[in-house]
Amino acid sequence: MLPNNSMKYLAFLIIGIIAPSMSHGQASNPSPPGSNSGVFQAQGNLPSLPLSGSNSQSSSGIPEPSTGLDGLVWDGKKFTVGDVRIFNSKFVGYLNEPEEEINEEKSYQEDLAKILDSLDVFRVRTDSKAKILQEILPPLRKAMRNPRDGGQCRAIYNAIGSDFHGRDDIAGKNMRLKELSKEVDRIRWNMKVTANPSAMEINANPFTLDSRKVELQNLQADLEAKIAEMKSLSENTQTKVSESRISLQRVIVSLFLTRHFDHVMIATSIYRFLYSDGAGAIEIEDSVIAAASENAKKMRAATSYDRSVESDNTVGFNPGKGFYSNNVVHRNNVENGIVSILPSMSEVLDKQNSLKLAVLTNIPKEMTEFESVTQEVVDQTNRMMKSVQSLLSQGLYDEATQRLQEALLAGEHLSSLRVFSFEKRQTLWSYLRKKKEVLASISSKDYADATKKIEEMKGTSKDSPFVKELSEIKNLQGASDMYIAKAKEAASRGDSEGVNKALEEAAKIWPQNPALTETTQLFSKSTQGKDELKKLLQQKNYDYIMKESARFLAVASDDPALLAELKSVLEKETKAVAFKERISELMKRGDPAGAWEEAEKSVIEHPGNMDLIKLRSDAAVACTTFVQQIEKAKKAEEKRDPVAAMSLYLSARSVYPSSTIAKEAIERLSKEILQK
Amino acid sequence: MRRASKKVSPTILVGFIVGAIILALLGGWIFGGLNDPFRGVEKIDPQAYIESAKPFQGGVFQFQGEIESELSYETGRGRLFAFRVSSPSGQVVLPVLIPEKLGRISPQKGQSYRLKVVGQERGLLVVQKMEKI
Repeated sequence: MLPNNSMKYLAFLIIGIIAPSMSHGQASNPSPPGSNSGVFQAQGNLPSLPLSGSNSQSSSGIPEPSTGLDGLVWDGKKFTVGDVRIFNSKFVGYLNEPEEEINEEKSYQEDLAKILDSLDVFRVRTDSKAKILQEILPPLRKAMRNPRDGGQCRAIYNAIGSDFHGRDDIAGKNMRLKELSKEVDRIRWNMKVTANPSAMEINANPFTLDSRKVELQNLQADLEAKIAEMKSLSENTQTKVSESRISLQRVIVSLFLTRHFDHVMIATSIYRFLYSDGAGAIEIEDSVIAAASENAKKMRAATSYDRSVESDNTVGFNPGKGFYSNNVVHRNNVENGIVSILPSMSEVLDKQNSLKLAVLTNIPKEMTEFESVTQEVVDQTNRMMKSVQSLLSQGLYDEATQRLQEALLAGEHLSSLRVFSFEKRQTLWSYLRKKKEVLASISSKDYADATKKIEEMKGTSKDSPFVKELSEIKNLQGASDMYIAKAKEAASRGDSEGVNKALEEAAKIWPQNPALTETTQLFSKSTQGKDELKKLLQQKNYDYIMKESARFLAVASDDPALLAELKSVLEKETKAVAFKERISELMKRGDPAGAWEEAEKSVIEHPGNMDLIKLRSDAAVACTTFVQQIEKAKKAEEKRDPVAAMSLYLSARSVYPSSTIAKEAIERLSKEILQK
Repeated sequence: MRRASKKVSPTILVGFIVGAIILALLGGWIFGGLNDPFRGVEKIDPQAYIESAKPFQGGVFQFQGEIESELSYETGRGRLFAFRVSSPSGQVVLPVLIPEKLGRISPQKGQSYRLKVVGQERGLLVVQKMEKI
């Protein structure tokens, strides 16, 4: 029975510790129902990415990483707890609290050991109570004056005192009862004598009859009064004994629930010493538990559940009925009361009270159980602290922190935790702070910062608690980037709705994604750039467009029509630039006629290009005769005078034999002229 | 007594000589002109021609020119040549068709010719006669 019960009690002790912290934490930081409770709620697994189509997502369909703490582990059992701050409040306080003075603690533990030695179970049965009491009271007094004591020894001391006061009172009352008993006997004798005078007197006097009757009545009244006093004293004595026991039981339960296990051991031993009638197996009075349960019930509205079962025995045999069929049996099992010890997320008070009840209804009912559970807790806590020291020396801070948390939850007031060095506490506090920073970054979805901090933590502790989170973060970053890519793709199709939707999804997953900011800015610039480009195209300001061609190409990349127009303009302008370069080069080489011909061609292709027109004019000035002849030839052609045009082209060619315009025209006109 | 001699006047002598020279020149011009095949043919105005060739249609003209290049050949029609001709405002190049009936002539680039041409359709000059100079 012990191991199973031990586990049960340990679990309840842990929950008992958590409950007030939880209610406090949530009351001070209330979150509305349906809000992002996932930030603080433990989550077993990260919801899959939305692209995978998993149903493990938040209501908004956004995946969220787990917060890194899924609960606590005690003796291989996992207890899921909903709020990481539960641990922080007590644990942070502990890590920043200076260690206990070693000498004080040593002296205190010595005093407690002395008391326990004196209360040895066999000595209690053999030695006198007075002797044992004389042994235990001095160290108890010393311990209660020790600064390390939080009033627990004083409570035990007072309970002993109360018991002895009660015993003194009972002793006085017993003496009074004896006196009353004697008096009752005397009154009864007197009444007997008064009622029957012949037994004492030879000659009865008839005139004394009335006076005897009165005396008898007086004796009767006196007797009734004495008997009533006796009855009252007897009842009072019984109540006193019961009150003393209950008082000490209350102290024990209180010490147990507040996890003062050293003192539970002493108090149970003292209980056995004072009330040895059950040889150490004395049950805790039901009234203590019942009263606690009733109080808890008053504070919490009862719930109910129905376990009614309907069974259909279609065929069977009954000795009375014989064979039967379709014998439907209903078994009702409706229970009222508190059904869940787990707190409802929405009812903070109920949660606290239901947990109180859960603890109170599951406390040990026997002193031996108290002692066993307490010894188990002390032992496990000490072993955990050894584990913490070992893990710390190995640089495994995360494991060490977890073990210390678990040790603290149960053995908060035990010596091994109180003397744990401040330096080591601070080492773990520093580690825990970094861990909290990572959790905060994850909670705020600042995954870049979280990743950076996780990497930093790897240099501090040899064990990395965020391997899973790191992987999840990478997945989320990938998902966000994929949405951005989707937005870009939608932009290339000119699908503005698709762009907005994809960007919104990307922002939901990773609001601080640098690529998201970049893309948003790009799209914003793109919109402005498009307007500018359209204006420049309208103004035919091709020079500026050419200068900013790279920017405008990027801007128009998602607008096929605008891009086509831009490309056409850039193509033409590129040719115009090539023309300009060639014309300038020919002019430099002293070939104005060649430069003019090139300019003439370029102006035909780029009629509005003023630079080319100017270059053509400059070249024409340097070869007037040639240009005039070509111009005249063209006019003659326009007038349908091919022979004159031919003559002019021939003349022009004689001026500039390399003329391509003349050559082409001569070839063309030769055929025309010779045709009939 | 000697009789006085009769002398010829020098003025008469000079006049006779001048008269003789004039007669010789006149005779040469008359006899030469009679033998010139281009005699009486209008010389072409190259400047006017390049301004507009159409008015030259139907007219017969002569000019001297140097072959610049052969431009084209059309069976049944002949070969089209470019002749460089001098004009007061500079050199002009005229397209001239040498018909096939004058196929025995084989002009080469750089050779100078004297040509008698007739303006045909659209003013194209077609050679009637050409002499190498």
